[in-house]
Amino acid sequence: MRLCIVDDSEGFRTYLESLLRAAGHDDITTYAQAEDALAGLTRPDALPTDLILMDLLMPGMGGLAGIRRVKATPALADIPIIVVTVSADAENLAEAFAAGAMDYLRKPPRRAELLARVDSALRFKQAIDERKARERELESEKAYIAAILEYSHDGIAVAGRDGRFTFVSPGMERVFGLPADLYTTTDRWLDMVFPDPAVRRDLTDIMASRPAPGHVWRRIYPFADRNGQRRTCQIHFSTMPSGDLIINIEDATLFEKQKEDLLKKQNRHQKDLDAAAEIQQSLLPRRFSMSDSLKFAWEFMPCDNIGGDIFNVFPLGPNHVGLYMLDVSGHGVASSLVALSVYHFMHYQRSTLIDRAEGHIDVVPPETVLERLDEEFPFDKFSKFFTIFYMTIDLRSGYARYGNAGHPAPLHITATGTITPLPRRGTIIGLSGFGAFPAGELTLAPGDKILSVSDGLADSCNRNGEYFGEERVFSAVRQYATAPVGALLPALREAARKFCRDTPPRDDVSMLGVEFLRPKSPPPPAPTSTNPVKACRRPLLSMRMHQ
Amino acid sequence: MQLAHKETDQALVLSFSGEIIMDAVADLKTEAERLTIESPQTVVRLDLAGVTFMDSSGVGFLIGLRRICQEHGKTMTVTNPSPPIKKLLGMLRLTDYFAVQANPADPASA
Repeated sequence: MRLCIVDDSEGFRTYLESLLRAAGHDDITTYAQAEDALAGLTRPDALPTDLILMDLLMPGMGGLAGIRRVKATPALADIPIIVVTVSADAENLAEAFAAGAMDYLRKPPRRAELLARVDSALRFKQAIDERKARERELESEKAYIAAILEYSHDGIAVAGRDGRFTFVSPGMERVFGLPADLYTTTDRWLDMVFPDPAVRRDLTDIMASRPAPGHVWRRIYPFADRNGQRRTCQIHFSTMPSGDLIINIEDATLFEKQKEDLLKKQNRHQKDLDAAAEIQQSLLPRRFSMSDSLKFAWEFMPCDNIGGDIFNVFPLGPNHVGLYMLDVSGHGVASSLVALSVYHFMHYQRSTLIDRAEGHIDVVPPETVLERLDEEFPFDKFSKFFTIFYMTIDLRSGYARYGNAGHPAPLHITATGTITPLPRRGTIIGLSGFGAFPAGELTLAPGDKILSVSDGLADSCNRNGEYFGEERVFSAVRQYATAPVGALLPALREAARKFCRDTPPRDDVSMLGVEFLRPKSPPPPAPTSTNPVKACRRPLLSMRMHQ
Repeated sequence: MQLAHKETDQALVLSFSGEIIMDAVADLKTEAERLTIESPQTVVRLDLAGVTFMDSSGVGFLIGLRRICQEHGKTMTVTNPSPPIKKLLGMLRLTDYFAVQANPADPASA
């Protein structure tokens, strides 16, 4: 610690300094007059001093005036002063103590007494310094907390057990728009800002019951600001150990409005999705038989977020049937609109599927249909691609021709239960002629079935994240391979449902099966050649010309 | 889906992991396209070693990225597809379209 000796006797200064240094006090400054000491101690670069040993009888202002000046200087006032004097005059000493000296020693001081008095004064100074530091710390904390309460946008209030507010922060005024000092009691506050009687009742209950210390209750309430505008606040209630209730209020009007807007948007989107799903499902085949020669069945399990699956079975002139299944990439309204667009492009009366010449109806070969689709639906157009399996069947002979653009291979299931995936397959639709679409052909015998399923079936998951997978699809098909198509598809759907249970499909699941029953009987002889149906050229021959 | 990238002497390598599905594509499409366009490299290699599942949105994302490469005079290849991804690309007949390769560092695949 730093000591200061003020004495006009150089010899005594040296003596005193030597005693103190010998006792371990090595930071000592000395002055010959009180004026010099005051000038030195108040210099801007002066280090703080912890004790002054002051002579009383000195030239200049003298020790007594020096003591008064030290005590009158705020930066020095806390420094303890020990008077060291030859004078034992009681009046002088009384004046010195009145001026602020804390102790005195007679010259020449005895070493032990000097050191004991010095140590005692230094301990006193240390205690003063620590107390002052703590006071400054507390003041700083207090100012910081006051600034938080002043500038926090949230309102904070504390209510005693009698319902009187013991504290109301300026934030309350910002939230409710009324001067904070209006809220003297919780009842008055409730009456002024919460016009809804049910809200007031609820809040009154909370004020009375109060959460246990350590617990927080959160509520959202409507309130009226000073202009009567309806707003929303979120309130957190917690209780202090003393039982006082802390009420923390946040203006949640904007947040509630955003939530409300978001919900409205979500409802609108959901309605759009529902409408799109309804349209998608209205396009699926309605009948299950088309003639004595062919029966078909289908199953459709839509995903929540509408997919892009569509399939159809339709007549192509008097002797042919066409069937397709397509899956547009992605989910949502965009995918379903592309599917709808392809559905219209694939309408059985359009030139996509039938070439009309003079007096002829030519069934367009599937591979040519796929090329036309690839030209019409490039990926760039909608940022979508699709897979499609398309097949035509001549009902008179069972001759079937197909094209497959990246779709899972359909299965040919014979009447005896032999299962063969249809092997020919090209790339997806949308790559603008990148790959060819090879044609496949086969002849169906009575009892043979064709089964096409979308990849959504194999990709269905159970709650453990396991895929239903192709093996399980094959296994279910094998089990019902000889069953009629009307029994095979429901069995497949049931197998998937048992595996996935309550886990909804991530993608649309579509299944389409056709069963060739028997060749179509030839029509009776025509009385004239002007009937357009009877004037059809034999489609099979026409198709072969396209090969 | 997670996306990491690095530039080698010859190529920009975009490494994907996890599931490339609709929601994940929406999150990372812009970043992958930005990296592709801003890279000085003329070869963009998509490393799919860590991809466990890819739906049709994921395939659409790869097609879109390949288109962007074409527009900027770059070539795109797909490397290290895991067996299910390789099977999917095979089923869609996209193996040639994406110039799918096994690990280029593997001498057996050279």
